[in-house]
Amino acid sequence: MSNDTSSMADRELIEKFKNGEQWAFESLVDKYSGRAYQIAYGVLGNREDAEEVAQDVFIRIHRALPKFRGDSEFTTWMYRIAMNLARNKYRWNKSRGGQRNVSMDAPIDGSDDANGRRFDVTEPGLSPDVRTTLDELERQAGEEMEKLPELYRQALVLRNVEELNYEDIADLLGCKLGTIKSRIARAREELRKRLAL
Amino acid sequence: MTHAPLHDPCPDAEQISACVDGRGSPEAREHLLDCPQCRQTAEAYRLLDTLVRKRLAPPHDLAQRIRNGVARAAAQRPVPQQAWFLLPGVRLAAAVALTLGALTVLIVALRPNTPEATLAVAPPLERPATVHPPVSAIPDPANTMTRVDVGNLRPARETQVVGSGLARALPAEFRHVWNVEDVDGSARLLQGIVGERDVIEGVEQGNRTFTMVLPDRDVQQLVDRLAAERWELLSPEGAQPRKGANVAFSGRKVTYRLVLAGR
Repeated sequence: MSNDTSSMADRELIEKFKNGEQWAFESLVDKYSGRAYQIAYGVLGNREDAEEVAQDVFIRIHRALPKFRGDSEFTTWMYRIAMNLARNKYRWNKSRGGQRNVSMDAPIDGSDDANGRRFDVTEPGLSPDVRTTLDELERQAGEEMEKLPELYRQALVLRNVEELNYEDIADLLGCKLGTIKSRIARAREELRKRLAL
Repeated sequence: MTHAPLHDPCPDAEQISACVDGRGSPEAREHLLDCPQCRQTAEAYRLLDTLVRKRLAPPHDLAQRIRNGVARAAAQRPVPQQAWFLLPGVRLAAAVALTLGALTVLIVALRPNTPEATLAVAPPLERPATVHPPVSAIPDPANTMTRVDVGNLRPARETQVVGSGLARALPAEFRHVWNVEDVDGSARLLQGIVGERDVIEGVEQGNRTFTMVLPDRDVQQLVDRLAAERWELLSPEGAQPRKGANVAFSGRKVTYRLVLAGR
């Protein structure tokens, strides 16, 4: 799931952390917290829960890393923890009457959009009309994505997590490669139709 | 999915989707070159991927929030104290001592038992060179770094030392001057790192200062973190980035003042 250089750097960071150098763990957080968040988002479909899970992932890793033997890549291990915790959270949400849905534009933790939580596809220099159209498309895509069947959404989101390929996604979701290929295609086609692209 | 009768039968959505991911069959890829409608579908998929990635963008301060959360969780759970004899420096020193002892025995066994030979026998090392003082034995100097001679002290469980060499206690109060590219940005970063801890801001010779009281272990972590942010430490006093090897951490609180000097 990661290239040789990256995994070597990870092993060095892990060794340094085991030797008491806390900064090495923080480097792992800097490097991989985004991916943990994205994987969790794929399962949960909302930002607040994804952030909570991402934090839990690294709390677990911090606790378990001294005993990490390196039989697998750090990323493989981290992705599995993220996936398992996200699934647990999903089941927990469901048992409490359905998952929480946070609107794409809703502020999180009372913060406002100035904190950069709201994504923005607009580029500087675009005309107001084009910018408005893109903003609208962005909003609709977010809404429709959350309405996709869970299996399709997971596959499509994981496909867009940095460095995850079909094989990684199949491994994480415990599916065959063909199933993943099919789910990604169905998710894309469904969204394309709903957005009339 | 048939778009144009003049072309070969159009590939289905799965084939086009696979092409977008660089996994389409040669026939499907070739078809996309000729069929504008299938190409438009592929472009729509790419646009959707862009929108999904935008939606997936983590909050900009996610890593910092996670670091804070991990630190809080770690502070709440009891930290298992590593046995002093398992510390890397101690293990190394013990290995050296054992090797020296074995060599000495070998030399003695192989040489005739003359008075000179007897004098050549080194006294056995009773314990590794790296032994760490109990908290109570660590002096509490003001403003100066002190080397603690641990020659006659026994290891103490409550003191954690990383690495080998003479253990140094952090002074009760000390300051670091950090050279940073952007003072205001660095100040914000620092505030993000130290979080809710009480920080007293001030000015020293025109430079912004931040004073805080925190456990000595946290000072080392903070210094490591700032060094990782490419802050340049100008004053060589106190904890050094990534060189916590010789610092004796006892968990006692020290007053740490940072001075931010712009480059």
